[in-house]
Amino acid sequence: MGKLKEALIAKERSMQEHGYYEPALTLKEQDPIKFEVLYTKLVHSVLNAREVAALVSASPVVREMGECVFGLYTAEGDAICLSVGIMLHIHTMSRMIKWMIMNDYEEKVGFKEGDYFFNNDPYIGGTHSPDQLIVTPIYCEGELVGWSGGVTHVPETGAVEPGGLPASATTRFHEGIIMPCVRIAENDELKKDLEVFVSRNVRTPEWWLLDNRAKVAGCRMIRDDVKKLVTAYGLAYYTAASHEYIEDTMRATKAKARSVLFPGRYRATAFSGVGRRLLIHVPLEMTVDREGQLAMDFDGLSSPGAHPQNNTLPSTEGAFMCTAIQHLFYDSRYNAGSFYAMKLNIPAGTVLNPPNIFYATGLISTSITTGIVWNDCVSRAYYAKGYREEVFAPNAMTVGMHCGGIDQYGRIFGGFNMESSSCGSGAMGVFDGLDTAYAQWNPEADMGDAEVWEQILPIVWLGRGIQPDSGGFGKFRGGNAIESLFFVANTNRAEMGSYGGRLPIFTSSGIMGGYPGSRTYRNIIQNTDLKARIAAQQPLPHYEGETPDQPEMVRLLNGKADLSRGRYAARPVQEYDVYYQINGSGGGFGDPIERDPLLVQRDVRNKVTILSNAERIYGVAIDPATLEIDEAKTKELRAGIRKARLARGVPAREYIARTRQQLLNGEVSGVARDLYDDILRISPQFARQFREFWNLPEDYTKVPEPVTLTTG
Amino acid sequence: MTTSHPKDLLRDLLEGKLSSERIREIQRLPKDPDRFEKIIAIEQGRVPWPERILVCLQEHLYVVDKQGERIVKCSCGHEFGDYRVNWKESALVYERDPQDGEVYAHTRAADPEFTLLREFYCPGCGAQLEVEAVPPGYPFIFSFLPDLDD
Amino acid sequence: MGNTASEHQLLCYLDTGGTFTDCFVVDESGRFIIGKAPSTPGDIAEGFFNAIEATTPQIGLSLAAFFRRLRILGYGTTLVINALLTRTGRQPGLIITKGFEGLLLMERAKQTWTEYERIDRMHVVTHRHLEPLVPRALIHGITERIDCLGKPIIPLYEQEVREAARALIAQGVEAIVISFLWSFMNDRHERRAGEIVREELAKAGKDIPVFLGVEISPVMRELSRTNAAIIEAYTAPLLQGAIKGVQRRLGELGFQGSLQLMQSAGGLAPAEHVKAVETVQSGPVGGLMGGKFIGDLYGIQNVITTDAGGTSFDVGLVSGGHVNINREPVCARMILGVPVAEIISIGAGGGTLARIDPLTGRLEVGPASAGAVPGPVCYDTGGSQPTVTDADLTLGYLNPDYFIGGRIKLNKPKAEEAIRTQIAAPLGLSVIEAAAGIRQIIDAKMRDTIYGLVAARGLAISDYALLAFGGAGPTHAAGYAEGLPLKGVLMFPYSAAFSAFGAATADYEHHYTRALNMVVPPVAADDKKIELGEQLNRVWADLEAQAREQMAREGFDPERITLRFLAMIRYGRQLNDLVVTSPVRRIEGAADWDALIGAFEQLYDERYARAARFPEAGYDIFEVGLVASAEKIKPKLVPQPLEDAPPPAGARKGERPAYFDGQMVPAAVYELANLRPGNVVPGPAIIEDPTTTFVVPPSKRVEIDQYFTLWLK
Repeated sequence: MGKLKEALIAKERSMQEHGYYEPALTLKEQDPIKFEVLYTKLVHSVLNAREVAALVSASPVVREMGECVFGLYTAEGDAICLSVGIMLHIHTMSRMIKWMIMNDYEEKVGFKEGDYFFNNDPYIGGTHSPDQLIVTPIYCEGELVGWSGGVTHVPETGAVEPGGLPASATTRFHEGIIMPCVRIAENDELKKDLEVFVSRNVRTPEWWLLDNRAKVAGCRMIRDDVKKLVTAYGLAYYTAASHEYIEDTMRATKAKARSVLFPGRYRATAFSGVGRRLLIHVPLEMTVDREGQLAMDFDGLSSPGAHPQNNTLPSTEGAFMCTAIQHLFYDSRYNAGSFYAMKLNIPAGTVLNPPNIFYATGLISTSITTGIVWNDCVSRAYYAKGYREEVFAPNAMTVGMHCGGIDQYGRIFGGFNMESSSCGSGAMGVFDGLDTAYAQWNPEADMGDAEVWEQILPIVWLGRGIQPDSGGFGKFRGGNAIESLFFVANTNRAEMGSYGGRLPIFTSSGIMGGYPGSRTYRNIIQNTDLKARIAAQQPLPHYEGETPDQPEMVRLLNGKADLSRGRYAARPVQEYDVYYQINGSGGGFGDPIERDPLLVQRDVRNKVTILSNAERIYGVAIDPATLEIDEAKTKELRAGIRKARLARGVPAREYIARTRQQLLNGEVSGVARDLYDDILRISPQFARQFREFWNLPEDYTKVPEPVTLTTG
Repeated sequence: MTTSHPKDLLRDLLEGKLSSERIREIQRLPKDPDRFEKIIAIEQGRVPWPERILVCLQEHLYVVDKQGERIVKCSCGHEFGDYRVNWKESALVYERDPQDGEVYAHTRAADPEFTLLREFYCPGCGAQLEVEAVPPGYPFIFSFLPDLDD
Repeated sequence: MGNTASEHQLLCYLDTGGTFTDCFVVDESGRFIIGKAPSTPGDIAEGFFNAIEATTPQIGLSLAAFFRRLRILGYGTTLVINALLTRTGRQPGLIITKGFEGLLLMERAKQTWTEYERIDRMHVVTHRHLEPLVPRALIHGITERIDCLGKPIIPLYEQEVREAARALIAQGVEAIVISFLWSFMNDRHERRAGEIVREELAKAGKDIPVFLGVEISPVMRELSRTNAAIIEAYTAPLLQGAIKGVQRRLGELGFQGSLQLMQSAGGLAPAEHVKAVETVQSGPVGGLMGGKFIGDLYGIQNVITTDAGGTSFDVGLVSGGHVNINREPVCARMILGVPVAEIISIGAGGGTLARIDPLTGRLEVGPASAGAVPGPVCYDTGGSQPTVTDADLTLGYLNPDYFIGGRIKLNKPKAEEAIRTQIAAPLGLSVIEAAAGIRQIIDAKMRDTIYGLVAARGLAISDYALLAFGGAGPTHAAGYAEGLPLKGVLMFPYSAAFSAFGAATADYEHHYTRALNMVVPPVAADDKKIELGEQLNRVWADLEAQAREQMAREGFDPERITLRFLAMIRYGRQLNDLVVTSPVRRIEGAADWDALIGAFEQLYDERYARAARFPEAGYDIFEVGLVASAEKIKPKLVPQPLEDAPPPAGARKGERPAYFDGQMVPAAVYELANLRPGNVVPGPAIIEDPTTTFVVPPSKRVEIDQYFTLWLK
């Protein structure tokens, strides 16, 4: 067995035995200043690497969304520090390094200075195949002392559909070029033959190949910095300190949880919808004990299936940590410590930990959903402790458009507009969520300028803005989604499709009386008369408009419309085909009729709330002409809404009895039936709770077929 | 130097009276260790009943000590019973077809085959305490069971 | 310092800082003196003239005589940025491409977190939208569209423009901004809309300024361009008003010369011709200009400027003799499509606060600052949390009785007590160790910022010399320069006023850019290269004509104008380009084309190492540019005869214990004014001056050269 493998196994064992990463913080106690100064240097190194990479990179995802993270790892592959960026990857590169070690790369493949290993196999590391990881070993005094790594999201992988996120994939083998831990460079030089391979297998090879250069440049910077620091501090100190930073973070993580979260048991459930048929169950039971030990139990997850919304373990861990860092550990060192400080149960054989590598995993909506239930549980824990300003209602699922073919310059292309990176955020406990400025997987969210995307893709926007009233209604509302309406221009050789999850359900959940953010969807109209309308200078569609059920594009255009609003596979498109997309929006917080009328008025003035909703949902009367608030009428409206609630609400016990009967009769939707049949089978724990709550017999293991009367 | 905020500031914070920039300043500071006690005191001052608040469960709902009994109580005074039992089981429920057009425009709402809206109201004051978005037949979610035992 | 100016023409530069306005006067022979007066935020003109009045006596001139000789009055104004921060500009209305009326409310998500500290970027509940300068009700959408190839794909619906103009007039806006997508590729729609709006204004008998996106910022990215145009509309009237006020007063005082404004990209230009938005960040530019000047003086091509003040540490770069330009800066949280000199600023200075994180027991220094109020503990003005200045005092670097020349008396025991109770005790360290820790961490942060700025641009720090100035610069230079393989560390006697000095060294300069859409195949035949070259030549010729016309209008002799032709080049489908200075003024043949591409490849190598090259992707050129500049009177550092190495007896004031290499050791204390060129001051030593304090560690020495520059060696 290789030295690294021995060390790794020993480390994992000792952690399981003792529950700590290092027994003591000797160096920190001896000289806290020296300890801190070295860490500052390491952090700056990864930050600088990220900046250089972003400059060399070609992929718009890196330039416009900064989806690019660099990290420094111990010899065994534990993260010591990461740059800012998409924290999905805090753990995914670690997984990749450990996978190579456990699979005897040290002996069978061999590591040496100047080697760079590439991986985009999400079962090994990364969250889906567009996530491309590159790591390089760091040698000092002839010994492998650590790894530097970088990851970027490359929006084209030569999959069955363009853009790297094929919505129609049903197995891994539809998801394009997947290279598991391949050595792509030696002596700091990229291998030409591999570049030829890539250049002939993906639609936009420049992105992949330039990003390789970006990551190699970044990894190399970190490597060289670390070598200098080891010389300055001594190998022994560096190694010991790098382990202590992880232990230090483990302790800080628990201390943080202890000081800001109320101890107790928290439960939340969210779902990830697939197409028109399937619902995926993502439950979380979170416990916080008085010592600040966090335990996260995802027992009850659905089974994997023939769709792209299964996600791998690295993807799930990544997505989960990404939210955890933003919502709780933002002020700690970003490294493996916060991960090890939590107990995480993601049952094997489920949609978030598939039994084998066959399943498609392109759309990470299910793993991102772990962040939604986290937001719910942790917000309640902050609330109970009094930290209302940290309450963050559950966030949105992201969707987007991808396209490929021949672009406006006559070049082959494939890619997507990353507006998925700018949903509305969940409401905060003390003010509204952000409109169009957040994605759960990207704290440094951005949608980029339309002009940048129009330069890259053969599309022209007719309208791009804030989707009114899409955020979840509440005392504080969820952030509104971005809506986009555009048409295909300057090409007739292109295909266009859409990706994204949580369809056809609400994009987020509300909390403490707030409503979920509205559903995400997209429409397309082909063979339109847009060109003629333009020539005649007639009114054109720009937004969905105040009547979503009769959107402008439908009212103003003729053509072949697909308003199925579902996700769909890429299809051929031509000039003047018109596409509409509304992205995710955040959940609301609190009872909508407790919303400050001034906030409602502000939204109406900004045209992000329409008058009828102000009145019907918030119970705020606003004069259409002056936009002034009628306070007396507002009082009246709100009293009326309360009364109506008391009138229509039924005592829970009645409701439970009624629903129990429906379950016994099998009177639930087919979607619900499939959901329960699956999880009652694979999760004894859920089955028990389910039967207990509805007071169902022990033999209730699946929902019975409904009785259908046969009339003679 | 540990942070500590004046009570008036915290009252304004939880009443939503602070500008988002002022809130940002509070968010950026290290957390104030005396927050819990202060918030409890503020909340105690806002409710019309005498029972001692042990923890704020969520908007409107508190776990209070009523002659040694720990029960869930609404700001309006309505009592939901033992805190170890999900308060939702003593609330009013309204199961809403998301596409009924009353809250969401039809196209913006989830497909009722997949998701129903379950609105929970306080029987005392009609406050909307929680909205669940779950498939038909899904058990009530027991969101929070605080660890109160000493 | 320079001697009294005689019957020479004069140049004067005024640098309005937050607290002081520095007045810098130089004569044709290059001799200069510096005066200062408190700034007057209310009425800039007042502080402006106070500073001049405070200075002229030093030259031995009456105000009248001073202004009679004054040829150029340079001025760095913070008026525009202040108007933005305090939201006190004029209210514009906006006419924008239909479908983008929500642009300012939506902005770019990036604007909700850009300029935040690393922690806040991750702590997402702290992210905030910016309140738009133009409320939604004053934004009107117009049906029209240019596509990315510059083709009008939707015609301008002119009637909508008329209606929008009338509506805005009725709404009583004070300016009208027109910003359409891709107008920088084809400005036809924007200009036509401008005509229509002016017609409507004329009909309504209104005199309201109209601003076109393409005229303010002819570059890609609709938000950056629209932001720039809105800022122009929001602040230009204020700036022009203020300038008129100053000019009137100058006229009365007999001033015949030209009033010049410092621009954010560096370089002065006649006040009446400067765009307001181009002065938005002119404050810290002076130091960079000075860096370039000093670099030229010593024949150093690459210079790092470091300005350490009370609250911030500003780092800038001069590379290859040119100031690094940021073409997409963020000002007042708005991303702007205007060039500004690239300056990285972190919260690190004398006032920076130190604390122990109660959860982790980590010592954290900054970014928060005690500012002027309550100030450091030792100021005795209410500050209770220890700062970097308190640490410097505790460590013996600062003289409690000679801070700002003794104007502020420092309370050392109080500083020590704060550090003892709040830092030393929790960490189990002595007061000295704790103070040293604070200094170590702040110095490390400064060092890493310098290193990062250079490294993250793929540059080599060993090619650079470092200039340290600002009140706290010389006090910390030895610390933050330690371990950096620099060509040298330079400090200046007029350290605190170095920005004013630097600004006075600036040339006249104008930057011009133009968008185009050039996709260059990996392998291009000669005729293709020539065709592309001609395309470039046409744009360069346009820009040159534009530049010559403007500089002529500003009264420059065409002979004195120097032009730098730029092409922003990237590999095919890359998203960041490099600003390449063309080796030729025009592409006359395939060879010239290859020379241009060659220049790009070479620059690319220097930046990102050869391995990152990717000619197989071909090249994209979406922007070209031109920098036109002309020389003017500048300060000249006059070499003075070198004297012996040992400082004159009078220079040494005594000695006091200061912290070096882990212990307090006796350090010699000198008075800067009494040192002479040629002197060598061995460490450990402290050189005091009313405006700053130079710290010389034992392992180092300071050599004063013929220009009275202090070299830390």
